Amino acid sequence: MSENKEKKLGFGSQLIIENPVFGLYLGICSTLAISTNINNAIGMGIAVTIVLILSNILVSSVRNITPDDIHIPVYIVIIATLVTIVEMTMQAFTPDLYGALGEFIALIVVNCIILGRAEAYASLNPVGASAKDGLMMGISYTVSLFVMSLIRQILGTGVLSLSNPLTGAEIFAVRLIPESFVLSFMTTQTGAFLTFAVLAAACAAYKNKVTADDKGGK
Amino acid sequence: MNKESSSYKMILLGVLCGICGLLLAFVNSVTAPIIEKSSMAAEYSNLEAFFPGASFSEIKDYDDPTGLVTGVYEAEGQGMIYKVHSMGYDSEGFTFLIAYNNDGTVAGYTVLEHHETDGLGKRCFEEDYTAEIMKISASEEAPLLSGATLTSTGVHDGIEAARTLFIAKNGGTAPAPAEKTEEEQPEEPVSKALKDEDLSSAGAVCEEKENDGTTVIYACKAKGFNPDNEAEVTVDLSAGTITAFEVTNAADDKDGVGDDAYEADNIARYIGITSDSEVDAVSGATETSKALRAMAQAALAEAGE
Repeated sequence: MSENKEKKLGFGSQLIIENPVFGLYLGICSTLAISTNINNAIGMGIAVTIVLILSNILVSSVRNITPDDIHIPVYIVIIATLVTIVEMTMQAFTPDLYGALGEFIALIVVNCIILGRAEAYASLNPVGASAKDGLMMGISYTVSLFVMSLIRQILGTGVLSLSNPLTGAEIFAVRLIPESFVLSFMTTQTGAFLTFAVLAAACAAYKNKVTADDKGGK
Repeated sequence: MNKESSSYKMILLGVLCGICGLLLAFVNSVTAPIIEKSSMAAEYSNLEAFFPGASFSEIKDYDDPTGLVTGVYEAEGQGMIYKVHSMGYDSEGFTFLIAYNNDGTVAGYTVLEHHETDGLGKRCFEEDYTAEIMKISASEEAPLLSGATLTSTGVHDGIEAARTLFIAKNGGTAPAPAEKTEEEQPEEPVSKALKDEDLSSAGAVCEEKENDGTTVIYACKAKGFNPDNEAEVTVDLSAGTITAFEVTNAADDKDGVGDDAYEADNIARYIGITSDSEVDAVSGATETSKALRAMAQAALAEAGE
C-alpha cells in the first residue's frame, strides 16, 4: 500500500508526509538543539545522511547472517563505528563545524532515525533499496533541519550567513532584519520548540489534506 | 553452523567488533595527527598575538609546585609564555596566558576562558586591570582588584606561579613562600588601622540618633556594591569602642556575592574595635565589607570629635 502511495505522490509531497522529523517525530533532540544557524544544519544534515546511507547498506548486507535476537547489538556496533569515524574525520578536517556541533555528532549513534531505518527498512530490504532509503531519509532530515535553522537564524539574529566548513571563512552574510527588531529568543530553546511546533502542525495539516483528497478521489 | 546457536552469535559479534575496532584504529591513525596539529595551531595563534612572527616551541619539562601552570611556550629569542589555569569565583576556574619578554617586562596578558561575574570578577580580564598587569615586571607581583578579590587572587596566584618559573628559567632563585607572604602584607588594602584607611569611595555618613552621655547610637549610611547600606553603630564614648553593630538595610544582600559580609560571624568583627583596630574585609564581598568598615570608621570618627 505504501509502495503505491509513494509512486502516486511526488518527491516533494513524500518529503513532507514521510518526513522523519516533522512527520514521524524522530531525531527531534538534535534538531531542536543545533538548528540555530544554517551552517550547523547543513553540517549535521550531511553527517547524518552519510551515516544513514552507510548504516543502511551495512545493516542490509548483514541482514541474512544476523540472528534475530542479537540484531540490535549488531546494528548498534555498526552505527557507533560509523559515527565515530565520521566524528574523527570531522574533527580533523572541519574543526569549526566540529566545535559548533559538539557532542551532537557523537549522539548521532542514538539518533532514532538511523536505528529506526535500520530496523524498519534496511533489515528487510536489499542493499540497493536500503541505500536509496538512507539517502531519502537523510535528505528529508537535512531539509527539515535547514528549514528550521533558516527560520530561527533569520528571526533570532536577523543575519543570514554561511561559512565554509573546511576553513571557517565566511562565504556570505546578509542582514535581513535590523538589529533592534530581532527576536533573540528564537535562538534559545523556546524558539526551537515554537518553530518545531509550527512546522510540525503545518506538516500534519498537509498530510490530512492529502489523505482527505485520496479518499475523495476513491 | 546453526544460526541460532550461542556460539554462532558470539563469533558473529566478536568478528564484527574486531572489524570495527580495526577500522577505527585505522581512521584514528590517519586523523589523530591532523587533529593534534590543528589544536596546536589554535594555541599558537594566541601566542602569535604576543610575539608576532616568532618561532614557538613547547617546553614540557617544567617544575611547577602549584600545579597552576598548564603550558609553557618559548618564543625563540623573545620571551616566554605561560598558560595558567587558576580558580576564581566560579568553580570551573579560568585559563589565561601571561607572557614575559626576556628583559622581564610583561609582554601580554589574555584570558582564554572564564565564567566570572560580569561587573565583579570579570573586571580582572578587562582593559583597566590588563593595563595594570602590563605595567608590572617579573620582579613584581600582580595587584589585587577591589570588588573582585577572589578572581584577582586567582590571577595573582597564577601569575606568581608563572613568574616563579620565569625567574627559575633565567637562573634566578624563586622567591621563597615566606618572603611572599611578607611582601603581600602591605598590598592588602585592609591591613592597616581603620582610621587610616581610605574608604571615601563608600561615602559613609553618620548621624547621632541617641546619646545618653556614655554611649551614642549612630545611624549610618554608606555605598557598597549598591547605595544605601544602613547600620546602627553603638559607640562607647569613654573607651572609644564599638559595642554594637546592627545592619538595618542590607542593600547588597545578593545571594552569593555581598551577603557574606552581613553574616553574624562577619559582623562580629566590628564589635569591640577602636579606630586603631585593623579590620579585614570579607573575601568575595569586598565592596560590601568596605561599606560596613566605612560606617564603623565614620561612627568612630564622629564619636572622637
